[in-house]
Amino acid sequence: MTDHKQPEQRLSEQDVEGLLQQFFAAETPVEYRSNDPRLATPSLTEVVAPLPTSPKESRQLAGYMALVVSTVCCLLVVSFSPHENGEQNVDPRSSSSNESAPPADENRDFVPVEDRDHLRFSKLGGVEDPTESQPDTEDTLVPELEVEIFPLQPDKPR
Amino acid sequence: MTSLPSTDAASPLESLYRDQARELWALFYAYCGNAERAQDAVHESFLKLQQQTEEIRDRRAWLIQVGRNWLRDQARRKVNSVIKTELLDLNPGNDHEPIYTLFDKEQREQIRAALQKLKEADREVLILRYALNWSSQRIGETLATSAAAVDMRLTRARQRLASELEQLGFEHD
Repeated sequence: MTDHKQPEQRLSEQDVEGLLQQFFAAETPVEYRSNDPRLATPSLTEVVAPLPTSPKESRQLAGYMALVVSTVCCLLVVSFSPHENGEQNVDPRSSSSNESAPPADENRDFVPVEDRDHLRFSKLGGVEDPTESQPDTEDTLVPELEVEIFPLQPDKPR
Repeated sequence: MTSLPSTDAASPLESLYRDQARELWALFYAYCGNAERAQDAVHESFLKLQQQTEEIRDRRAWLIQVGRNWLRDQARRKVNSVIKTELLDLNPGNDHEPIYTLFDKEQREQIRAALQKLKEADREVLILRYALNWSSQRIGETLATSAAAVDMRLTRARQRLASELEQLGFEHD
């Protein structure tokens, strides 16, 4: 009594062909899978997308680059624009006379010290112009120095 | 008569490698049945060609002979070879390749074992066809025979492989 396999269990040539294709697809080293071994190690020009050559592609690339540049510029302008309420942490003492004056809208709340009434020197007990209304009291005068002048001795004749 | 200079041989050697490496790998794989070792044999043969200072009449035949000799030496070191094969089989990377999800490991080993039971000539045509996707014409040029003879040999090789797989109890969905 022979053990015959069922026809549907037998491997056909097509089955074997499919098995071999799958088996060797995994078994073959990567560098030998392609018909050209050079394709296994692509060059830089093959990895990086080539530059457009046709005029249409060039125009599309130029438009894209312009869009990118304008977007970046808008972002830079927005990020560096002043605050809406004009508040800035600027130390007035740090500004020198050589520096250009800030815009008027930025200093619209700034009042110079000499224009502030409550800070006037006279109201703080001082005299604004010493030559104008100097009190003529002896306390404020500097006492005169008594200088003794010694006359020079005449040269002795040789 | 061709020769390969040992010092200024980068371009000719690279050109020769591009032309011959895939075919050599297939022939070495048919000879030893191990893809990794066949690749090593290709590299070894080209390395020895680069070191060769004497003139070589037929470089392709020379490379094949050197690669086969190297594989024979490796086979003699049986213990070392077995260890290497086991280490390769333990490599988890192979099992994670998507293509291997089509087979389980047992099926893969059954196909490998069935291929080893075929004649070397049968393995050669199968590998050149299915590993390198070569046409019958190209295979015929390599094996010095006609395309029709290659087709006949392919048919017989597939039938023998199917028979071997059935004897190994290969279960195909």
